[in-house]
Amino acid sequence: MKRQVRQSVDPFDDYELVQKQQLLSQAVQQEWQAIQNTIQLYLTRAIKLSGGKLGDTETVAKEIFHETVEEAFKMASKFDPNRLARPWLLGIAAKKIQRWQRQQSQQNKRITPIAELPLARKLKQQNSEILSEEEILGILHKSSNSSDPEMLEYLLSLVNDSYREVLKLAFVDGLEGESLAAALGTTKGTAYTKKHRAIAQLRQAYVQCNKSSEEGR
Amino acid sequence: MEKQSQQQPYSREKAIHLYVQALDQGDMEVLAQILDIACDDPELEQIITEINLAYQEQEQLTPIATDAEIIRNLLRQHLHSAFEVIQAEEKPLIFEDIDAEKPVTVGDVVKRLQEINCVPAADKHIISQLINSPVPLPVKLSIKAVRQLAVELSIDASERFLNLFRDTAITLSIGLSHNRAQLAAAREQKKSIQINNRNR
Repeated sequence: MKRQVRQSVDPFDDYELVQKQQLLSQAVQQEWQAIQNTIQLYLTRAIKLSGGKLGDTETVAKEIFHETVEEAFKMASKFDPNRLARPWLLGIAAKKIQRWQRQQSQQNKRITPIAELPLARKLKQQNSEILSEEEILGILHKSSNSSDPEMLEYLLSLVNDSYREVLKLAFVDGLEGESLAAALGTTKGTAYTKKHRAIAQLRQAYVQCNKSSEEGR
Repeated sequence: MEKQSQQQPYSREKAIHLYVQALDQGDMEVLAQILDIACDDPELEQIITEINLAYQEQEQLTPIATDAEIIRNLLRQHLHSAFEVIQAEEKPLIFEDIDAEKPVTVGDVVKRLQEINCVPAADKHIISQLINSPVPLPVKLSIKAVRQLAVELSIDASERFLNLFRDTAITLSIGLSHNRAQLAAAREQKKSIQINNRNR
């Protein structure tokens, strides 16, 4: 005989849920400006890169922010209070933007052919099959830590001057965060962005060079 | 240079790399994945915030102007329990450094802007100038009043900074008055419980 499962409402569960909701509420009260502005940034990047026109992104960003807060409270029971609330909320927002993008493309009744996708995305698809992020980071760290200056010089020669400077400061001089930003005369955020765009360019160039030398054989 | 964990080589560096790439490519799926990792890594979250600010400057995005009251209404709408009377020791973290009895000062607002990393690069010099300022905020926080305040304080601030200052000042002021009401209600509740207990 099947045992009947008794569905009881545990007051402790209620208390826990209220606590989680209060934590989320505090996070929203504290961070709403930063969250809303980040949503606007994500939206701008998503629209630009999908080749869409930047219309009233502010209104859409506000709508997505409101939907994010609504969704966050609906699924508050899944929120782990030991985790950070802001990235959790932004993660919900990113998924909302993705859904909004899909709706937009459905409305436009147009599927973007692969050939029309941004070049960077095509390269990413090609590169990911050949060289992973760990591999290029591994090559960079290995050549800068070991006594292989030739390899490091070769790698640095593959990128343009401004990216070479960033890679040199990061991997030869070992600068990171604020010290890297100070050496470049930028903010920390710009320094991180430059460094990782430099790594991305190096990854592409490295793959291309290896491909050409294999074809030349 | 900070060494990465041996178990997960370059894990944070890889996350930052993927985040920058995802932003460059408008890839929301990857962004969501990295944000999920950042939920457990405060340092990564801080770096992500820095990167977002850099992109916002690069894209020349003007911060969205929203009345703080709209946010409060939104929260009220979705969460009644969060606005129930709370005990004095459970003050929301946002106001923990501000004395509920004193008015909000210019220094409080600048401190908050610095904490949430919202000061535009060109206005960073204002932080040291005003972080200890005891000057109380104007009663009416219109953009005109904030501009006037900037003139009186002899600061050379961008329009973006003034807008951010205004939004933050409104949030703090509303939050503080709400906090005062909560404290008063909590005291009132405590008092009535004590009276009831005595009468029993």
